[in-house]
Amino acid sequence: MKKVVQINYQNAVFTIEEAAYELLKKYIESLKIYFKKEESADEIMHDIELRIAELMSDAIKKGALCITEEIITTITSSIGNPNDLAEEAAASFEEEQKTVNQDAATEGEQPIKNWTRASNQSMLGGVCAGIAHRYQIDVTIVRLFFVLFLFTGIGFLLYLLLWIILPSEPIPSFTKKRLFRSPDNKRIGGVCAGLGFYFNIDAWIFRILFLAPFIISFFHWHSLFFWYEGGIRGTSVLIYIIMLIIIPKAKTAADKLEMKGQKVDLDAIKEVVNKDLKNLDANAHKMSEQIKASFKSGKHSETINEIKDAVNPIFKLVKIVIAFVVFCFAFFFVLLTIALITRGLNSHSVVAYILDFNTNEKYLYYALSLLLLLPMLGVLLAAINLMTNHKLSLKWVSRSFLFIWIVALVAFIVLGANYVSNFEYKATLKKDIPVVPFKSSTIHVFANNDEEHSLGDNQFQDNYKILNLISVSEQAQLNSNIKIDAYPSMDSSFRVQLLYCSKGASQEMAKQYVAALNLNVLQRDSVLLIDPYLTVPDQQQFRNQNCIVRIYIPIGKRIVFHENLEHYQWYSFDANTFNVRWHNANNGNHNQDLYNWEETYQMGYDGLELVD
Amino acid sequence: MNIENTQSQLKKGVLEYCVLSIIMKGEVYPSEIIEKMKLANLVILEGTLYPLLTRLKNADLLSYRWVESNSGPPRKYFSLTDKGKAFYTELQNTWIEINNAVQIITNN
Repeated sequence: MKKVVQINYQNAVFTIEEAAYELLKKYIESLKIYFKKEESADEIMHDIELRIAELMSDAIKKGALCITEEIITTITSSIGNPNDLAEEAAASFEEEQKTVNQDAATEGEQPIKNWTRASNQSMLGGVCAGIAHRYQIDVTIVRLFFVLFLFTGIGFLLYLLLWIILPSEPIPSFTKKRLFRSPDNKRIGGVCAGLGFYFNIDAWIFRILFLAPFIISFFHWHSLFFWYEGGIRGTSVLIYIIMLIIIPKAKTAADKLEMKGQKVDLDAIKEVVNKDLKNLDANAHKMSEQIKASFKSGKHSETINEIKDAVNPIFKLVKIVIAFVVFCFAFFFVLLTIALITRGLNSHSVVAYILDFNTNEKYLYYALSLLLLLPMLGVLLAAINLMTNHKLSLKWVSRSFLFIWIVALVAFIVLGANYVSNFEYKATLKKDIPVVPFKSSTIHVFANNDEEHSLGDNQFQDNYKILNLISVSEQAQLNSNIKIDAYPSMDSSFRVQLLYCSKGASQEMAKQYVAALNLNVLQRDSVLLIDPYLTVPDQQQFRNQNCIVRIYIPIGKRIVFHENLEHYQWYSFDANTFNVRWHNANNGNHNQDLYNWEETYQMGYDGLELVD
Repeated sequence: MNIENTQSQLKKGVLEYCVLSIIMKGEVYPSEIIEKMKLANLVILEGTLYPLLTRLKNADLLSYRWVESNSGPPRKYFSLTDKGKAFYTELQNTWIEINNAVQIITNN
């Protein structure tokens, strides 16, 4: 029993045994390497591959059910293995070697070659490849240099300028030792492993160099989240990412030999191919997909290809820039979220006020954290993938992310529904504040901002606030969910009544919560001082506690709301106006209107009226 | 001194001449060339022929056109250019000279 696969080869579909397919692939790769030095290597390979396709369709016509290993062996022996070809061409090969040496000699005599852009080895415009050829160095090094040191404003312009000025010409490939990312002994992207091969030192030295800034920062672990402020740590990550993008992966046997600085000859390739063959079975499926994909793309007409060639570099650049921006944002948000999550775990945080960490409400918090964090991590990984243009295999990571995210979502819904039941019952408590009669016909309402009661920025700078609504100190939670209602008084004296409200999981709980609330209101002659915060005992959680301050104003008497009341955030919409509910004496309805600070209003039968 | 090396050198020398003379007789595609050479007991690998044809084509000695085939992918049919014909005539003269010389030398 043998597994067969379908391949699209030279625009014909073949059913081929998997083993035969591997053999064929290996054979074609070895031929490619063999013909690499020929002038028209691509054309020769194309001719040969057409011939292979022809021989395979012949075999099918003659009655073969599928392409077997025997058929491939017959084909390869008819066309010739690199070894046989080398033998046949042995005589000519020596001659060619001589001419190559002569070429090298003449090149040595003319050190100044023309500045060109490489038309055949370009990543963007071929500028770097051209420079690399001009000075006979590895193009990857030139690219790294460009990106690391020159891709500031001037370097960017320089690149564009060279792109425009230099003529485009094909250049021969560079055959000395080259910098690659090594896929075989990689940890992340194979950057350090590749550097290790290039400089002939152990890859761990580079790994430690990259990690050193982070190892140091472990001794100040809390600064880890804000590493982007620390120059060297950011630089280390940035350099790694740039290298990940710029340095190509060593894909073929020849690449791996060039990476190790070994001579690319037949025996060496054979050895590498054999080594790779052991891993092939696992990768076979993936490769056939890749081959299918490459053949699909090969079907485009030439015009489309030409347009693509012209537009591609721009697309690539735009894609990388967008991906980089997305990456930066995602990275920032991931760090921010982690920082917020960790801070939220503090027992005096706002989160501890909203959620009770002694009950299973803490899992609600964890679920919410995961719900926020995972998509951002996903975006981060996707951005890295887009930037590096080579697929890190994220299948399992993304699947497990999705799984965890769904679990978190379910947990969030279940626990969230449970949490909402805390707000099912409502309790209210009225409390009258005695008002000593005073002479003036105008009452002045201020927020109590004296030092003792001041809960402004100075005292609470180390605590946590959400939009000034809730503050948390070590003694009590402070809630500025306070409303002011202006009511017409039925008699001739000013009166003040507080209406405390709270929700709870049961009527008893709600009552318990409401009884613990406190808002201080002081009267000094015609001045009413209201604390800017409602205090909630430290042990109690958020149950939408609030307080309505009802000020009863006799008809014909006046009231002034002073500007420092803007602490009552729910009422002040901007610096000059605020929103006060007043009670209409005629129909008993509540009305709501915008009023100005520091203006005098008189209570009439139709509500508050501005006094000129 | 390696006998195989000498043999392949000899073979390589006449290979271009043989290929050109087969194409001289009419448009052919590569595997036809192989077949004809096989009939004359001159066995070469296709992998050797393709680079040779490409080199000759790059030197403007050969031209080709694509012909659809009903048994698979299209084929390249090669023919000689004017330059190729001149090149062939010269090779032919040289071959006759060498052949004569070798015959005279080896027979005596």
